[in-house]
Amino acid sequence: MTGRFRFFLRLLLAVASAVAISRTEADQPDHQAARLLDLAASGEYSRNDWRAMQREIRNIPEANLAEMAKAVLGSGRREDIPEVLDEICFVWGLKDPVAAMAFAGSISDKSLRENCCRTAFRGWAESDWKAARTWMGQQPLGQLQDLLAASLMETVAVRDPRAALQILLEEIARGQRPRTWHIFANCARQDPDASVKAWEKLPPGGEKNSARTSIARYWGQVQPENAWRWASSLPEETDRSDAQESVLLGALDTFPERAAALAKQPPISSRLLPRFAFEWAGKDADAAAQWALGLPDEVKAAAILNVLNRSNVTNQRALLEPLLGLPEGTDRARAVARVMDFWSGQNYEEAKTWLLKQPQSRDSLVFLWGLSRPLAKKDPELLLSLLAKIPEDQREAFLMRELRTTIKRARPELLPKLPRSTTKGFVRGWSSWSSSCGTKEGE
Amino acid sequence: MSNSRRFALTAVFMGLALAANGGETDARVNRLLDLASSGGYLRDERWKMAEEISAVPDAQMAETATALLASERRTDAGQALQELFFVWAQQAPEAALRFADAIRTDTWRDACRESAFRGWAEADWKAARTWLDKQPPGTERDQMMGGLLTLVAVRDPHAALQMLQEEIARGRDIRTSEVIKICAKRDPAATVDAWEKLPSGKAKNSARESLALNWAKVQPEEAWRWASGFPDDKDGQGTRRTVILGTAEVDPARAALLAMQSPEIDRKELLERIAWTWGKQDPDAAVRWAGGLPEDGRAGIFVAILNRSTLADPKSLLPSMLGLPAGRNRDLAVSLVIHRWSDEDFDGVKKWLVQQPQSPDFPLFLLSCMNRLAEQDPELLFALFEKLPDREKKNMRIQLKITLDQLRPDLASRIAPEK
Repeated sequence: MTGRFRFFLRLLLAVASAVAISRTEADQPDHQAARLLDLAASGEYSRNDWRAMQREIRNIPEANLAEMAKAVLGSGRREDIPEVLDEICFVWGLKDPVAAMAFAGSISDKSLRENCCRTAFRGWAESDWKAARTWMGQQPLGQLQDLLAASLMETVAVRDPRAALQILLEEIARGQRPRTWHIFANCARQDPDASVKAWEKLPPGGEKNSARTSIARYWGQVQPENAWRWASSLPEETDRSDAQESVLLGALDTFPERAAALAKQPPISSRLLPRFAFEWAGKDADAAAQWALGLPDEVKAAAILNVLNRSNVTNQRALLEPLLGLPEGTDRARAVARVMDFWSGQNYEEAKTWLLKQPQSRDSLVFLWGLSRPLAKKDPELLLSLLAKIPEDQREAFLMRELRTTIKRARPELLPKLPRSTTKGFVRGWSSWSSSCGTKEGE
Repeated sequence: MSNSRRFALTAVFMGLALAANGGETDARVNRLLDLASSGGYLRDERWKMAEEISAVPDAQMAETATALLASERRTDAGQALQELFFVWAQQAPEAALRFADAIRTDTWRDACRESAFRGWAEADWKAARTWLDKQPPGTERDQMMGGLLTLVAVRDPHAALQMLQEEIARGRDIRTSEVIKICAKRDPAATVDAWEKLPSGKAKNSARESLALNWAKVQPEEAWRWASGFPDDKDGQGTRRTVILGTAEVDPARAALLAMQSPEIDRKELLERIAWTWGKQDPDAAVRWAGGLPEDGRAGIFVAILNRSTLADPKSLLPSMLGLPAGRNRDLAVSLVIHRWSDEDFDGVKKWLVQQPQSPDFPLFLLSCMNRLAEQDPELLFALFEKLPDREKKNMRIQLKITLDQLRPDLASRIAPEK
């Protein structure tokens, strides 16, 4: 062996050991995968840890992403794997989409596979949507392709709304059934006119309905008045009413005062007003209550009740007089009882004194219902004596039933002592508004 | 140079510097708003927004926040502000909170305070806790405490369990299950110990459920041993049932075995839950397992699997679903298979449907595809409807009318009202 050859051999060995040493234990794929999985596990509760995981993944050299993805997948930490792989596939999709898609497609767990395919494709679409689209066009139709198509269009909708709408129409013509909500959400904010034109071309069906709601909601967020004009011009009653509601909800997100002004403009279904009050109360209960007080009498009680059902108004006591001035009805009774109950929570003695000063009237039972919870707990004899004073023909069935329910919760032993209800319905007409809002919220 | 000239020059330089800085802030704010806007949909842009905010110098945080608050683009500004306060509070928590307190709009003030507190807690949870202890009781404190508890549970499960016990002793049940969930995965022994010390009541019961579920996800065998130590009463059975459900997330075959070996637990519903979880992970294996179960209840288990699954070959399952004992679950299973098959190959389904002879199952086949037919091939739907015998037609008419009203109102008038 010549001296020169020995020198090169030594040099080669030195370089190899330097490389081996430089890749410290912490850099080994398994160790790094474990660190990423730990960060993902805590990242659910710590934004910093989540960011640290993202940053570390973004710093992995492109050539090492496959190795890292395999190490994560092989870790067996089923709970944390999806989060880390999702991020790896997204970053990999940004850098080398074909390899990322191939890896994602080879995962055996079905839901993980589908999710990784989606995120790898998402990365691809975010970095080069035209190439992603060409690839997608060569794939067979199917459920996963529907998801990928939707993902692509959502991305394009941000970058180039008109192109996204064009792709949507082409995909539908090709027999795909992409979800439309997110596509129109973005397009409507940036280019409402093109969105409306594309919507008109959609085949009738559930996705067209969803697109209508999406346009109204997101156009309403940026240009409430223009969106309202469009919604109000729709010829079909169902389309019009749904779109108006969505415009109001969208405008409420960004311009509550302008939304409130629109909600009072004809033509509007009076069904929408209490619903709008309910939604607004979720953001600003006092402003919503003030607005509801200005509504026509036939919807005022329902709107105020919805505000009270949704959130606490600061000065509920101030609502009592306007409510008592409204015609009798279930919503009015419920709203008055809610106000009384709230008042008693703040100052029971004051509410009780007020109650005792009220002359006997058809509202007496409503007031008693409102105070029944604290009365049953603190002054049960007073509650029974006040109830006994209510004439038989004014013991309305609905109010007595509600009162019984409250007393059953507060002091069940009083139930046998309660008088029976003897009359049906001076409180007429169950309100469909407040109950429908409750249903919608529950959904 | 005279003093007055020097002063004038300094003023000019300061003005120029301020204007330059203002311009820089405006440009940054516009960039942030754009990133926030697209970041709602594009992950990469969301990341870029966070990175950009983390690079804002401390001294310019207040100025940037002011500009964002003044923006007309409220939705985008809201996104950026939450991130900004989170980052700002990690460096200067008191300044960030003071600034947030002065915001006039209630919702924005609350959101910014919350974000600032989160940021502070991430940087120094002990200091954040000291501050929080001085805040008045109420919804905001509870929300902040909830976030703090979960964060501490990640960083220091022992401390979190101690804090949780203190909150419960004060009568506050704040995200108890969530804290137990995090701690159970990190330190099950300490969590069991802390759980035992909780006063009896609703919080302790929900904590037991959370402990059982989440411990089983990381150490199914140890969790099962613990659950087996409970007496054979309602609580004990509930705990074992929850451990089985947790086990199903990581090892559905083992969970199924445990369920079969636990006769005291309502097995039918439990097996359906396991099937549902298994179906998400490996539907074909789940179908194979379900095929070997006793006939009683098998249809419900198939429904649970099919509800969430895309199968490799849904069509091949149809004969076995049709062979299940008659009942609602059998019809549902048949319908789900047709649905899944339609997702993969609707043309194939249509061809098959046209070839079907009239049978008691034909209306079920038609119902299973009705929405898709209404949207994609309404003429075939009308033709198949006309093929139905009069008695079936009468029943189907209402359903068809509802479907058309929802999906094809333009065609609804073709269904004549019943005479």
